[in-house]
Amino acid sequence: MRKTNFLKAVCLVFITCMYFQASLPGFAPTDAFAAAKKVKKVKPPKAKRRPNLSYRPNVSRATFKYAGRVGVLPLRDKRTMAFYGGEDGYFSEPVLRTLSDALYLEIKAGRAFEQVKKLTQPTAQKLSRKDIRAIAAQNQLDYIFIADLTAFNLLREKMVKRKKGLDFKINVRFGIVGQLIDAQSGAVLWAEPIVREDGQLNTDKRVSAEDYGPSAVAAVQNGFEDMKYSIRQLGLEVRK
Amino acid sequence: MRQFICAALMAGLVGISAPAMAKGDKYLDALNVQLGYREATSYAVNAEKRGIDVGIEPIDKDGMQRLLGNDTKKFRPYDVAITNNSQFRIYINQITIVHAGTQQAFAWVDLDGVVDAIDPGGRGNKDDMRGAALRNNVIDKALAHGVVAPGETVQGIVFVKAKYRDEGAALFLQIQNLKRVAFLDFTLALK
Repeated sequence: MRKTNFLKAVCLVFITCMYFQASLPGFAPTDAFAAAKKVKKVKPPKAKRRPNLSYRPNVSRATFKYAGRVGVLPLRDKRTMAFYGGEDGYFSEPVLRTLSDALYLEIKAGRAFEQVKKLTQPTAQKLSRKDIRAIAAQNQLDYIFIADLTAFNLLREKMVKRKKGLDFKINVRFGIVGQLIDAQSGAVLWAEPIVREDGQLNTDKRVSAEDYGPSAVAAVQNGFEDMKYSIRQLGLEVRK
Repeated sequence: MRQFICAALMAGLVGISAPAMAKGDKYLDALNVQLGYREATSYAVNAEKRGIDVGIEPIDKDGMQRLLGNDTKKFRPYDVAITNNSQFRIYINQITIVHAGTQQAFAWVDLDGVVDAIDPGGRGNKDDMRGAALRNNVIDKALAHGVVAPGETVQGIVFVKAKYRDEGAALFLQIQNLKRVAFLDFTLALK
């Protein structure tokens, strides 16, 4: 009986030692006890498996706030980091082009403007009042909408920091700073930063398109919904 | 006697593993350390135009360890602050590293390059956790294009390749007025 109890005690000590990974010389936990697994870094999926970032925006039934025509310039990329791993090749189409299209479609769907025109010329880093007037004259516009993409990144966060195991949350962060400018006076009628994040838990070894694709679309769509609401609520009105 | 040996062995093992249990990870600890909040005029190198103050200071090795977890190696981090003492909201339109003499811009630094340069290391899951924490930390602390309200100060880290600094680089900041389109340019030397 005593011998059995002694053996039980020794086993208990051994298991406790393995759990806490005591730094005894020549001692290392075996693979059977280690819950940590090698996790591959997030690599872009094969081209045919990459998710699509485009979606159908929600159309507003409200009447327009701004009479006249707005020209929507393509997004300017002002991110500090590419989507992940120094590249954007995680989607089936170029990210900047898709998001610029989404911006135009969302402004059109928001119906805050009587007419919306998509401008295709590249947006300069600095647009002076003179440049804005020239663009407006060329396209018969009353307003110009400029937006900068400040964030579109895949971020991974371990949920329980000290615990071994695979419990990473995969977040996609989307951020823009938009400006609505009156073409003639150069007055900024609306300017706000918009940031949204969406994500889901990942417990697999690999991060696949399903883990970040829907989150990216949700973050972008929610971000643009915030933008449309903000334009209606905070945008300065123009006396004609 | 046997019970005494078991109890002594248990106590010894708990004593050895207690420091290991309490030991923190420097990359996870760095997530909770922020840049010291102060106005741009208190920085060693600062400039003022029309109520907008911009300040810049290099971050030393101790600062790198506290804020990011490790030395940034071939990238030199700078603490940059912008204080808006004007009556209007402003927007940080451009953040570029330029050659001080020619004003020609150097190549843009992707922060993934900074993360790779720091290279947290570790094995298996620990490596992945540290890498993810470092990446989030770098992107959160970097100076971003944003709107600054009147009376507000924003801060962030700007990373400059060491070789650019040796070639005479300067920080170029362009601020836009958000009442009516107008721009202010700032060029500050990197020391």
